[in-house]
Amino acid sequence: MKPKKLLQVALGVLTSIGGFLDVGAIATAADAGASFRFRLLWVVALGTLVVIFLAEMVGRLAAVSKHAYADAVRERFGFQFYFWPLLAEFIVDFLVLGAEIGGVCIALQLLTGISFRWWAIPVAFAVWLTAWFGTFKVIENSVALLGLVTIAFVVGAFHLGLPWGEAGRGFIPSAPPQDAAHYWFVAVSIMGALVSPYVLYFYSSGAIEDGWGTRELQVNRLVATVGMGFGSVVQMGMLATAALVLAPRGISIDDYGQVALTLVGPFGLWGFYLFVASLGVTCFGACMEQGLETAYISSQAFGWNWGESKSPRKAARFSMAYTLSIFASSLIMLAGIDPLKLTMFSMALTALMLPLVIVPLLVIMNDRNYLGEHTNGWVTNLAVGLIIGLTFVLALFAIPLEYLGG
Amino acid sequence: MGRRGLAIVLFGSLLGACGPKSPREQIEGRGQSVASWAATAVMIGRTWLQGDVPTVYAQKTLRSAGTQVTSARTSLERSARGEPLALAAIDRYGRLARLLARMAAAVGTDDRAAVARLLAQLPEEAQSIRALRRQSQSGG
Repeated sequence: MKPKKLLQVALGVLTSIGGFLDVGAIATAADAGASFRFRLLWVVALGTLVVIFLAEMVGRLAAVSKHAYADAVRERFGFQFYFWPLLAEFIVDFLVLGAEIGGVCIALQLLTGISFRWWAIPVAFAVWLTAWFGTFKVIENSVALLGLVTIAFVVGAFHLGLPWGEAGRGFIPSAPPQDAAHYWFVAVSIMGALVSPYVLYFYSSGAIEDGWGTRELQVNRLVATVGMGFGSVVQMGMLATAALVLAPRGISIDDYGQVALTLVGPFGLWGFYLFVASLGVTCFGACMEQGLETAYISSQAFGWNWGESKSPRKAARFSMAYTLSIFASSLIMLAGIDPLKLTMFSMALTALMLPLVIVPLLVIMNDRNYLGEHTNGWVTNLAVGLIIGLTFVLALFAIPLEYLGG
Repeated sequence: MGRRGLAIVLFGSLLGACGPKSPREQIEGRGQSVASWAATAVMIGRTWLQGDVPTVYAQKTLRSAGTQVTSARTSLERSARGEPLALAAIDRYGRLARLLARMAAAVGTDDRAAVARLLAQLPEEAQSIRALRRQSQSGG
């Protein structure tokens, strides 16, 4: 592989790690580790497999057909059909972006003691300023590099002495030891956090912005597999540190203040600051990706001029869409809604919405008009279809049981 | 079981989950959260004394812990109906909430001796709360 291509892969991998981790990954992994030790590692592995398949698919779609994912769904099925996945995505985006802004606000609260509510508007403004003045490349690469701070979770898990046998058994699906409703709710939330449709929309729009063609198919495969794979290892590290620090002490997760202790265990005061940095940086990056993704799907749905690399004057409605989205979602935090509860709810809701987003993708990925000779194989179709279907059915029962059961 | 039977079972379990919680169910459910907050306070107290967490964080999280425990106590008070186990839990939750409030204040004034003294009482409180939870689970 040529040096230029290697650099492209390395940057892509870094971006995927950054894009993979967000408030949902942190909250769901910590809850899983604290409540069930290593028993939910299999869900992280399964979700990673699906998101690798899906990211590779949307990247391939963009490279071969020159269509971003939302653009292709609208064109293939018509606007009347696309309206429903679009509406579902808007609702989920609104909540998830609120949770991501909440993650940055909580990081600032942990650092200063000033309540997260007061940070909602300043954080929204900082996210908006970065999106307004930054280009796609700058945003993508800075988020990716800063996101590497999260490797602290993996180092922490090793530092604490990972019990390999128990961790290994966590990759085999098992029945919950107690509290089955919460076990399945956390499992569904992990899937929602991993298989976030916004990552797919953002990935495919990014591939278009980067001008991918069929030459980049190999890069796409590597970036999707290695990048998402590494991201998953970091999330497993988060789960493991929670399992090793919080579970033995009988600490379950009701508040982000408790999650901060996961890195205090292995690293002391440095661990506290590493946690704050991890939460702040990954959530800030996710805020920008989420805000831009809302603008991408709106623009692609309504046929507006779009592109983060274009100046706001040249893509006015695109810029207006992310501006509105960022400030509207910040209102959730301003209202004082618990960021952790919002995160867990929005991740579970994402899992419920998955079929609406993934089924049209599977149809397009088997359409020769778009993919030519690069259509999906039957193994990919079957694996992704089955896992998404199962997640949907689980979400259908786990969400009401978790909330109505208190 | 046919599809209709399965639907009835699932709907029934959902309806069951919706109903008001008995004091025992509350001790079982929220008791876990209260015990978890007590354990959190122990870890925060110890790490604060070692200088492993900042004062601002320790004080704020201990205050949050106190608020959560008080909320669990208030909710249990509403449904206690004079049940001895519930009354014992209300008493324990109250003691824990007061302990957490004093600890948060001691951290705020950098009174290390007071924090160490209060910290020594926390494991016993946490153990009593866990014992009450076990009692409610076994129906004793």
